[in-house]
Amino acid sequence: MSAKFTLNGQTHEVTILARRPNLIVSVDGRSHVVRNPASLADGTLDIDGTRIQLALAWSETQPMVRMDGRTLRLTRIDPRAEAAGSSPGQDIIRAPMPGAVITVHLSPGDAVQEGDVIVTIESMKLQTALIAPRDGHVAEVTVAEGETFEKDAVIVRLVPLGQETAA
Amino acid sequence: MTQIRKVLIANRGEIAVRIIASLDKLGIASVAVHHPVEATAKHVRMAGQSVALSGATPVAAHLDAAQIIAAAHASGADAIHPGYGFLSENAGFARLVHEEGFIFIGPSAEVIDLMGDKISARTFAEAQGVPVAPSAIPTDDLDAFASAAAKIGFPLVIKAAAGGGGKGMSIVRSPADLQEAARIATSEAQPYFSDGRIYAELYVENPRHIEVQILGDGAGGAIHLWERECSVQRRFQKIIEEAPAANLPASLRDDICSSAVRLAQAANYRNAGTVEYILGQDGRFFFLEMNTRLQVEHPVTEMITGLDLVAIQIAIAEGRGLPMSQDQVPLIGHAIECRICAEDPCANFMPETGTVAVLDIPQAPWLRFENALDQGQKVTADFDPMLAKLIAHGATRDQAVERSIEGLRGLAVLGVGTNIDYLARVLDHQAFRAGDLDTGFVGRYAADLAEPAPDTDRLDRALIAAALGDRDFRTLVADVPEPHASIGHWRN
Repeated sequence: MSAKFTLNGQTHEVTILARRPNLIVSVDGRSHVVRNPASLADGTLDIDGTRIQLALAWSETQPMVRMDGRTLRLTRIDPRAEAAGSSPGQDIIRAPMPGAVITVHLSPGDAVQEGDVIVTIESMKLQTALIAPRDGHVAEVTVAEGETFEKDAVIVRLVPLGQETAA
Repeated sequence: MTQIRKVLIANRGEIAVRIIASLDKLGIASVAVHHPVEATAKHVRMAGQSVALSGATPVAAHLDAAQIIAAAHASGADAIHPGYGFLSENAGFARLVHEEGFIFIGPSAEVIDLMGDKISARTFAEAQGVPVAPSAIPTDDLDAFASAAAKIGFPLVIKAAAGGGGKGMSIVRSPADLQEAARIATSEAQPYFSDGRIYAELYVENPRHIEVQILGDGAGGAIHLWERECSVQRRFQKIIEEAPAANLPASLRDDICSSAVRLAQAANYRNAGTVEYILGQDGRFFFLEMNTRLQVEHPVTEMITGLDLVAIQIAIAEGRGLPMSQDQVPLIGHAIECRICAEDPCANFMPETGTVAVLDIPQAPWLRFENALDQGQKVTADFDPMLAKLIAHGATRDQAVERSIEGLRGLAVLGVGTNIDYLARVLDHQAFRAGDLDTGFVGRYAADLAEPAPDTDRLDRALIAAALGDRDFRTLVADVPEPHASIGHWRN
């Protein structure tokens, strides 16, 4: 019965307390009355008797809400992903933005220390180093120099934690 | 004198749109060019006709001189406007345009060559009595470079001879770091410019970036349209520009502007150009470079002079000479431009991609919003992250600042992260309001400019809106047969 979002590392939860006669929601335990929530489609909401003008759009899992000349960008926590447990993020390095590979500094089997640069990428004139999130060994670099990739593409895999001795 | 009847715009995005707007006013036909990925883009729709270019990437297509010349022939254009970026400062292109029988709306290929090489530009400027910073001769011999550079003193800045946009540029504060910095600079410069030569010059601490808009008739006549200040930069690129510069003593302004005119006259400069300077805290100014094209920030000059620079460019290209004499150039109030970029100011200005789902543009007689945005448009890594420019005019600088902030607050570009709110915080900063600017502004005030946490009211309201915009949550709300079930689908 709730939707969860994060902002600056903090999790916030919106829960439905009642639907009739008016929608009442709790935000982190604070309750608010929302009259005619369908008016959101027209860019307004009546919250606790105050008429709010706003614009809302999603960038993938991130709702961006603009009110009073300021945008808040939240991140929706997908309840299904949350239930499935956390991802093995420490072993996988993903592209923070779409772009092209400038330099591949290391090859499979190479040892890395946390902070080592493994691949240098470029997007919209900005070069960025993809660095090792932990000590370990490189298992795979999925791209070659000059190749392009999309945002969130897996660029580097490290040998999974616990299997380091195999390398 | 020739009459230009049809202009091909060898560019895209907001600048192509802006050029077409002036052509329309002048009754001149326009021809756009486009890569297949942007076949329905605004500049294509606005132009009288558009020619498709092929290319592995959209950028490659817009850099393909041969295809653009072929498009000019095919469309019957008699002139080519290069805009900024892409081929605008490519002397080979300007030469080709001329050889193929078209008018290039810009300076001669020789002048582009002269100013395109930082070293020859610097030497030329020095010969005209334009102040230049102490420097070392460019070389790709790193040992020779290091010993020559060390004589300048520290701090110094290393730059690529063929460079621009901050590529291959670094600041060196101690002799121990010189060798390594030179090695990195030349290795960065080589792949970008196919030229590994670097040079060093005195680094002016906390300088202001001041530039002068000039117009030349190509026969030794030149005037200036005042200066612009572009000191607020991130990653060596401008994000806020204004005209005139704040708190600039009249005699210093005269010195800077007249040195730019002197340079343009000596070069027999034709068309619109910009002479860039750095201005030290001690009032000394040094030539930085000359940009032989229309600048991104030209609208602030248009707003304080009431002139249309594109129309003037065309008149000059037609051989009609300069529009007025120096003493007739107006200076009306103050103007500020904010570059709206798809980037995350909280994450080192990392470029952002997404889809422009919401686009709401403020309207006021004192605002200009230069853009080629459409609702539903994808913002990809194919092009530069600059999406648009918001320009505000005021009778005073204070009023221009207020109107800019108000304009930014009224502007909504959602679905892709932008720097809109960040720009408003910069303008609202007391140092900006005081006109206390230098190129270290963004770094120095980073803490002040960080996104403030929202108060509880605002946070709760945003969370409620976000939840109601989420399909799963809405299903829960509309669990019972109520009008709520008819809420539209806003997600994507």
